[in-house]
Amino acid sequence: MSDKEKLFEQIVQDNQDRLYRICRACVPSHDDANDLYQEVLVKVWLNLHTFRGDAKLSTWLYRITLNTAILHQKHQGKHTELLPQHISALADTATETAHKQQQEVLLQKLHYCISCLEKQERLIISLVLEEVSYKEIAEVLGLTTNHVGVKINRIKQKLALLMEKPIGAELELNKTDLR
Amino acid sequence: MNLEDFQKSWQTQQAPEQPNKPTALETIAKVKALQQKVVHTNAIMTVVLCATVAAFVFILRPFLNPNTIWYDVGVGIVFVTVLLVTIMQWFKTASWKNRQLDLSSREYVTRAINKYTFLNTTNLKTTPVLMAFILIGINLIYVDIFWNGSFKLRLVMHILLNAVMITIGVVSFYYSKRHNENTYKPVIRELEELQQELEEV
Repeated sequence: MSDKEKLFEQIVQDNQDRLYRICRACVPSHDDANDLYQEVLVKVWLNLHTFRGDAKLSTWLYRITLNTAILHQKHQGKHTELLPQHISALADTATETAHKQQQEVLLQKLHYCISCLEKQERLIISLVLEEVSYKEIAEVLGLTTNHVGVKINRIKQKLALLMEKPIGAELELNKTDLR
Repeated sequence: MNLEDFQKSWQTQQAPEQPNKPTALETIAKVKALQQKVVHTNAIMTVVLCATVAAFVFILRPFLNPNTIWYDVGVGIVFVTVLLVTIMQWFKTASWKNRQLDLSSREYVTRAINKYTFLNTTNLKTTPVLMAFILIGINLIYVDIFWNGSFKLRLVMHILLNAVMITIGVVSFYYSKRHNENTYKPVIRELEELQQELEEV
């Protein structure tokens, strides 16, 4: 196995869950997210030689993921939101412990609420949920740290509001109160 | 419920099992690129088809003012041949736009091999037939155009036309064959290897 292959496999091993979750936030549909994740891995492999270490590896990976997500969304052509019935269906099927079930419901609701956000907001919140620093998010998006801070605060408020509402009311809230 | 709870819950998600070996990823990249190329070629063929029909029907027909039915028969043959090839290509590749590329699925890989083999064979075997039909069509158009000319003029024009068309045909066939060997064959070979691996698993 060449050094490049070893490095790539190490990168994938260390970052695959994080990259997948960013894809999940950017693209609400599960199948599309898998497709996007695969595209990201392909791009990381094909562009690995361009990483010179000027930026942090994580910043480089986030940038590739976000650029691929933006292109993917352009090809998809439309903003897709998850439907409220997807959540109740999933909640019913979760039959394990109460805590796990609660976690699952929370996660599905989170997915639904993220899908109600605007494209750029979804990109930003995906990084916030990964606990990426404001500075790094600013670097990835090419914005100033202050600007990113303001945006994140707005998105957090919006997400909190969406999460408080009962399922199904988010669409209305999204259309009227928040735009 | 605060952001920390969201983060904790969010970070429980794990990446799905997908082929992430560099060789598999390179195959994915090649398959995707070829898919895009085929869809792109289909679109170009459709545009060429429409432009050819428009040129023959709306520009050449009023300008040449055909004397016989052979002009329309010739145009018909050219049009139907190109239309059939275009439909065949679109039909075989239409599902690519909506189907997720999944090289971990044996069914997908088998289907992809079938499609690429079909396209490769179509390009190699039907191109001469397609050219022959187009040549017949254009010869019929020439029959009409030089209907009132002398036998000698008609003979010379047909010989020239066939010589030019055959030369163009042979050259384009040679390049198309070379192009196919560089594009389709390596992808088919890689997919076949992948299929074998999947069958072993």
